[in-house]
Amino acid sequence: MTRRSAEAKSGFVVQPGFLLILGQLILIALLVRVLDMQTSAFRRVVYVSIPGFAVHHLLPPRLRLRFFAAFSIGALALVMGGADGRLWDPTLALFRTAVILAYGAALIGICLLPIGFWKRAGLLAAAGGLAALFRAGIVGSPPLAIVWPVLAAMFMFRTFVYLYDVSTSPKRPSLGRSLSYFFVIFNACCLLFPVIDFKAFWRRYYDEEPLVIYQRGVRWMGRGILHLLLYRIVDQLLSVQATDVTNGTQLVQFVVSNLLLYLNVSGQFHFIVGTLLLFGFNLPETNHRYFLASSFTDYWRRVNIYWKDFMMKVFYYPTFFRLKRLGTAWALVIATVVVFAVTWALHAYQTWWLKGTVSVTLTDALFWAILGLLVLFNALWELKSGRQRRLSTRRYSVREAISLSLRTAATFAVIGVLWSLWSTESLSLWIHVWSLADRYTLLWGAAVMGAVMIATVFFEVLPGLDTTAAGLTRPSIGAPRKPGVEAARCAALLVAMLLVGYPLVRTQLVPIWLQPFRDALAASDSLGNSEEAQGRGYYESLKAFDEANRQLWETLRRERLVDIYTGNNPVRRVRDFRFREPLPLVHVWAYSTDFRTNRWGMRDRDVSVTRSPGTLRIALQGSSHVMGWGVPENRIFKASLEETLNRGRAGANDAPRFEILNFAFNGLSPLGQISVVEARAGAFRPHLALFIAHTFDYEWTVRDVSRCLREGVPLDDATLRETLAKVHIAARTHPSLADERLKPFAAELVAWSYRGIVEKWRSVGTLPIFVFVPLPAARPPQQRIAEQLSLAERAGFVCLDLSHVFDGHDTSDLVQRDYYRHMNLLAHDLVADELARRLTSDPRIDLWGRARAVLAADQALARLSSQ
Amino acid sequence: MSTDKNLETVVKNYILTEFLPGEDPGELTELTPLITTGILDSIATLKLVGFLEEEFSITIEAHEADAEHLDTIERIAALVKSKAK
Repeated sequence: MTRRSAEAKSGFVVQPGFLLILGQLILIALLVRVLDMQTSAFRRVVYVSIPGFAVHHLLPPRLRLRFFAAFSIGALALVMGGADGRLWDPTLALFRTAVILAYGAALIGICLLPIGFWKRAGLLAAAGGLAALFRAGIVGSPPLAIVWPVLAAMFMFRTFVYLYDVSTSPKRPSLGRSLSYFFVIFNACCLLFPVIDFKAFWRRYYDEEPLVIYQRGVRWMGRGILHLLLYRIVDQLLSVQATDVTNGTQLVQFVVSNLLLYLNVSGQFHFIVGTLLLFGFNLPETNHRYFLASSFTDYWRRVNIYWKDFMMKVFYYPTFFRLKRLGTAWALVIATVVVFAVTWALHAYQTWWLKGTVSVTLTDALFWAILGLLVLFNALWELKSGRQRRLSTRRYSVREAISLSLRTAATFAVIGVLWSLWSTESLSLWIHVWSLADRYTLLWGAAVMGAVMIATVFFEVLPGLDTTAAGLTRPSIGAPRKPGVEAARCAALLVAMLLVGYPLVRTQLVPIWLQPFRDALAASDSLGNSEEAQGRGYYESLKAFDEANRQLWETLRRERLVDIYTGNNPVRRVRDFRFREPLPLVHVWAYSTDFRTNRWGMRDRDVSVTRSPGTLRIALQGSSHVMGWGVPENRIFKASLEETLNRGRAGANDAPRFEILNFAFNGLSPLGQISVVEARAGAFRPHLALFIAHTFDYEWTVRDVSRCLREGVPLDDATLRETLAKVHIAARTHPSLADERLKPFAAELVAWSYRGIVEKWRSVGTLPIFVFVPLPAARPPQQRIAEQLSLAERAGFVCLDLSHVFDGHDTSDLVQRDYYRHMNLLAHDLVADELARRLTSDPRIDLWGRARAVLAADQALARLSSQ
Repeated sequence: MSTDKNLETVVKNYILTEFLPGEDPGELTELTPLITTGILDSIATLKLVGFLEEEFSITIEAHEADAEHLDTIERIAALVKSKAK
């Protein structure tokens, strides 16, 4: 069918097939909503795409292209207007969209200039360099920080293709075509975007019956969602980092899960390209059963087809054609080396544009070098021996089927091992992980390879033997023969996924033994931080956030992300109730302030474990507000309190000194504070310990108890284990569900934690003091405070209630503007004053009496030593 | 050099012999997609280009080694004819 006749069949005509497509798209929108897929911006673009598709289809063909370009730019504005707590900010949206359009139009204009190729390339490099200055934050205004990664997502690779195509074509493309190609729908909310070929984008525009193209698009969108759900299961149930591998079984788990995490990329790519098919762009598949590749060249051709085509077009063929006088084999070798070197460099280039930071590692270089060599040897073999190709579905003999399955399993294994190298931070760690291989590695490895062989038979061999099986497993290229059957099959898959994802079905009908799976599916696509993502491979690290891409993720997610440091996150993971601790001796800009840690990882001046004679030592425990989030170190209430207590002794050498050590760190729950005493603070043998209780003690304790199970931190307490068993919480239970189930036991868990803190302090001879300080912006009800104080008192704390410390002040006078939950300088001063008053006046503490006793004891000891 | 008349046949025979031995010649038509179905992968494309250049004494540019010019026998023939003019 010609394009004209195909188009003539639609436009202002509502066909039953069109309504079927629309019905399936509504199912997809429901799925995206119920499963809380990707980011808020992504979901919104999905919702508007459905009416957008309907309008586009019903428009006369001559208007469709203009509508698509306008609609894509509208979707860009929809995404760009996202702001914390606001659905859409029109000023931000227009401002950012205008800058992206203007800069993008300038880049397109450079490509179309009537000057030589290299001159245009030079101008583009200069424009890219200028954008890089903006991206790096060297120039530019803060509200525009998001513009540069989004602009990069649109232009960083497609400009290569576009420049190449316009330079080798006799005709210049129209502006509408160029704008549609770059400002394509979904690009603003899916930064990792397939490198669509400019020629293919237009060559196959409505080159088939529209409804056939649309139905294929729906199928790919459904397949994309399926990949994304499988990714959730891998992410939640299987994924393990290299640093967590302790035995041969976990080694296999690490290798396989890291490879399978790519489902997130293939899922997104299928969904994005499926959507483009809805607008008539009849593009080819982006990935094709890449886990079933039967050789390294086959893997390269399947895993990211658009990338492979990009490399072939812009680097491989030009290099080969230039060098073919050297002979086919040599030209092929050099062209392949160029392709993999460029691929390596462009992955780092992509990381920099999307994240704002990049680190070149040996494992990264080794991965691309080894993969390149494997593909090269394979290609040379194919050049010499040929490769069997078929015109129709191949029929395999038993021997051929076994051979294919074995080759596929072997390729999977080698790629898995290579991918594990890519996902490991250092070569030494990777070697260490592999040194843990044992007989279980062989056993589980064989099981995985067996599963791959079975999948090969089902998806690759059976279609050639039986038409029924072929119908179930045919590749998606090619028009479906029965549109009704195809639509029904797609709808069935979408309904099945919707049922699995629907909360009622998930929690009531799915049997209890499937709980880990339903929990995994319920997990929304969370945003990892850089620290966690480092050990999860290249693609996971791209979606992690840090300061350099904070605005980007805040805009896409419509939420505030405040746990931000400049540069690398200065914390390390620990396997106790704290889960992480600040690194020692770091100096970064964090929480809008200068953030330094001493050699013990404390936000404090340097201190020695042994106290000075005549000094009463006080340990301070708490979370972010005690650590001084957003407040200079010398203005935290700890500093003022210490100064107040020492003020009276000015000039008097025989008066006792007071020393306060700040062990607070953000996010620490009462459970985590047990480990603070055990791992760090206890060694300093303070006389008093001030545990500054948190408004969120209940919620955070619940959070951390379930996290202990997930991260394998031992909970050596029968009562706790009993509670966890009672509410059916296991290591694989999703955090939100675990928290929900543990909530009724929150007071019990907090009481247990308080007792733990008291016991730890008493074991080193310290008097534990519980101080309740409310957060100004989150003051709990009096009943909760009374309960919390009662739990602390029963645990053995001396309790000080500072719940009225902020009375008489408006919340807005007490909180920081940027970090709205946290105390500002005034609030810190109020706490310091009140705490000084209470500490010095409470007879249970008898601060002056204790201090004098410390001084006397130290003096006596000194006299004894001198005699 | 082959004449225009049998150009398609020459190309078809080459593809059948070199890349599709044993396949039914009747299934390979002038409109059968070659690149988009994977029959012509990168190595096969380079071999085909080498053959066309030698057989028809033409020069093919790197940017012409794509689906737009080589996806079907019909397009290959059109490319060769445009070069031979």
